[in-house]
Amino acid sequence: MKRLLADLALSLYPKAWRRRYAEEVSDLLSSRPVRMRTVIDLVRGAADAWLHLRSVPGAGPVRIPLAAVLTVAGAALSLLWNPGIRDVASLHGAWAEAASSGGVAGTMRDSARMLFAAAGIIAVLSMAPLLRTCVTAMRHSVHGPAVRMTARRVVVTTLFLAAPVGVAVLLFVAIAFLDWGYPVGPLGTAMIGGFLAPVVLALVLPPALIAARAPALGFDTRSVGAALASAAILDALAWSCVAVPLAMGLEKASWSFVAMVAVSALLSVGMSALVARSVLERSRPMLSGLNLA
Amino acid sequence: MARRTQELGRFTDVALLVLISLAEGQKHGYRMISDIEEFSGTSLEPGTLYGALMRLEERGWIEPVETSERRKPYRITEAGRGALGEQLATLRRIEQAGARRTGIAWGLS
Repeated sequence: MKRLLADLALSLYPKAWRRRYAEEVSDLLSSRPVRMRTVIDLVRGAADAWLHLRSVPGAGPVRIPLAAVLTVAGAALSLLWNPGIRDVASLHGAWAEAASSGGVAGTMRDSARMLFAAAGIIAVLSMAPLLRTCVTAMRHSVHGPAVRMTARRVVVTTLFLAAPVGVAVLLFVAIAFLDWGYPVGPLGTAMIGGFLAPVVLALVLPPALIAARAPALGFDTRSVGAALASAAILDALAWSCVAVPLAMGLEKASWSFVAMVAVSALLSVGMSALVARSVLERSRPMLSGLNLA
Repeated sequence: MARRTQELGRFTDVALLVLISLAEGQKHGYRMISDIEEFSGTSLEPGTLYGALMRLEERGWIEPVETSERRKPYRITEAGRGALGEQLATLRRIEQAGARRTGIAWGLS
């Protein structure tokens, strides 16, 4: 029983530590009596190894999983939209002030909506060439079984994620163009895309990352990365369009509302850029890192 | 040495024991535990021993010896010998100061 507990305690250590020392410690445990203090000492050692991960020989830098970062960022954006941004007085007050200065506010709102929409459309359409290549790869035996398996996983993952992407697109169209739901006013309709476009980009990411594992799909994966980079730039441009009417009506907006919009913009652009960078980084040609000189 | 061993935290004493054990020659974990118990009376558990080994290896004071055997031995490096020498010299000064002061105290009583 105590040996089992000791083995369990060993599994608590960081992966890099286990790779380096687990075999030696297991051997040591098998050649001496295991007491309760041995188990407690191992648990304590595991906590210490996690706290000093950088001291483990061969351990790389601590990396937070990309999926966790994007999930937290997506959840934060959702909370920033509701209840963060839904400050009726600021939304309508700032817009009324900006609109009273001429037609610039309206132009910026339309530009923001179109740019956010373009970002989402580019992200979704970027998958089309990759999917076509994957379907072709699945049907032809000229590709090895590994490529065919990867292609199948890309297609299945894309089909699985099509539903949430569809929901995000519908929400955007309904709120930005049909004034559906909570009355967020023209300023709200201008910025809703900034909360949904990064989510669409993030949903495109899993199949693109799966495809990046197969060099045979590298060309199409890099195209997805380039398209996502364009989408991220459009997202940033759209937020700059939102900033214009907000700046014009700043006097009528509360400081907390302005802060929420600023944080939302940073998070939205950061999330989009992270998605694009992840695909571009992982779809690099295999030999690009070698210095042939 | 004092500054360099500060980061070893609660492993300072264990690290010293490991360095002393390895100063005699390369040893694997099991032999280190037996040797340390024999010369110091301290019974180390694997979690504590490998916490100290990890820190000593990171500082370059010990290094694993390449072997085909399951049990991987470790040996002390030149930097480790230097660090051990400094630490022992410090301990010697403390011991001498302690002996001198307790000697005075005994003389007064």
